[in-house]
Amino acid sequence: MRGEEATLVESIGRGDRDSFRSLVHRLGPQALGLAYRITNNRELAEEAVQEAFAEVWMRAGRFDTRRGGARQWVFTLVHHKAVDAIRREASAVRLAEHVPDPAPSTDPEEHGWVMDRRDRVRRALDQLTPAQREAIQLAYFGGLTYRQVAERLGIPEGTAKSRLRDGLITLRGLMEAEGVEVGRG
Amino acid sequence: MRTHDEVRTLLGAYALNAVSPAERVKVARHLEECEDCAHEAEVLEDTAAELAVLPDTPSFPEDLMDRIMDSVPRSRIVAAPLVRTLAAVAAVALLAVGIMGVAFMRERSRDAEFAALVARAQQQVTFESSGEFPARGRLYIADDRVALALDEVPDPGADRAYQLWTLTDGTPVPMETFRPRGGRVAVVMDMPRRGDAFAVTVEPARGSRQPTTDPILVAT
Repeated sequence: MRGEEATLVESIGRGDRDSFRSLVHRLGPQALGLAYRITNNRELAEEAVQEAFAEVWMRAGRFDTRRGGARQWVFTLVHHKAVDAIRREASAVRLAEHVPDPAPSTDPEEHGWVMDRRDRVRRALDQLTPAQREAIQLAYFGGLTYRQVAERLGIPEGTAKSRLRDGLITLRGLMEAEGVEVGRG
Repeated sequence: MRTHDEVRTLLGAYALNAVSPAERVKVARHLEECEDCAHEAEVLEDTAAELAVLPDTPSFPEDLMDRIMDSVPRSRIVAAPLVRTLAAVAAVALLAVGIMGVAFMRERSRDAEFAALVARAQQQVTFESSGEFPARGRLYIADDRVALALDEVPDPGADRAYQLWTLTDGTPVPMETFRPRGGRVAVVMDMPRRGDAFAVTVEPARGSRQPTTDPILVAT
């Protein structure tokens, strides 16, 4: 099954600006939500999203839509840019700070595909052991390396590595059980 | 086998972008030759990316959409009209020749140094992209000087530059920054210490003492 994004990425690879705009319209809001969560900073988040989409434009022609999910690819780029930003600012400690959340979207189209998927992913994540869940959240949303995760949790580095890997492997199964076709849809 | 086992345990952290730049290089290199690990990494990366739906969805600022659209070219072919415009304005062209002449001479002497270094290089290494970065190229090493030749190098963005690193046992030593000209890089620089690997990262324009982003190109 191919997502709508895969078709868009293919046209973007041929230099189609309209498809690019559609992709940004479709994935931009959630991309921004992800970047906000990681950076806790509106400016850094917007910059990360802008950089990630610029890279989508540049690399779309080389993206093999048969291999991985197009949407997952875009979010991976956004994640990398956002994490790069906080590592650059050396402010990964900001996790604990409270920054007011950006206004939630009121445009149902911006939620679109996200809502149903979010509930399933949330349910899957909730079924992990608390130790695995915490490690994954610190790494993915906190932008911490496994060494920083180990330090934060007071556990050996090897334990942090295996919590992340075993946790992800289990999470994949749990997601599939919740009807999330990982890497597709 | 040792590398395989070591990389295997790192795959979860790698998929979550939770490894050091040196580890990222090590994993990426291994993934190119180990299908099992490559498959696992792909699945775990896709799994991690599904987590992106969890944060609340904010509304998307219109000016951000404008900035994103402005950051990509209106057309893939931009060079031709520019050349025509230059040719049409003869008076301007004359002036341009004067200015470009100086730049051209500087370019020539740099080119000569570059060519000489390539010619006497005792060793050359080929860069591999550690992700989907489009650039390709080589590094020519002659004693404590190197010539870096890259093609298809995208603009790193305003206030950013590429930086070359030499790595010893995964520890990066900073080298100079560089920017592409017309997608190409042909520069000569000093090498403070000869490491066992080389990497290129994107850094703030004046360069960094430690890499602040993941390597986009790696060579050993």
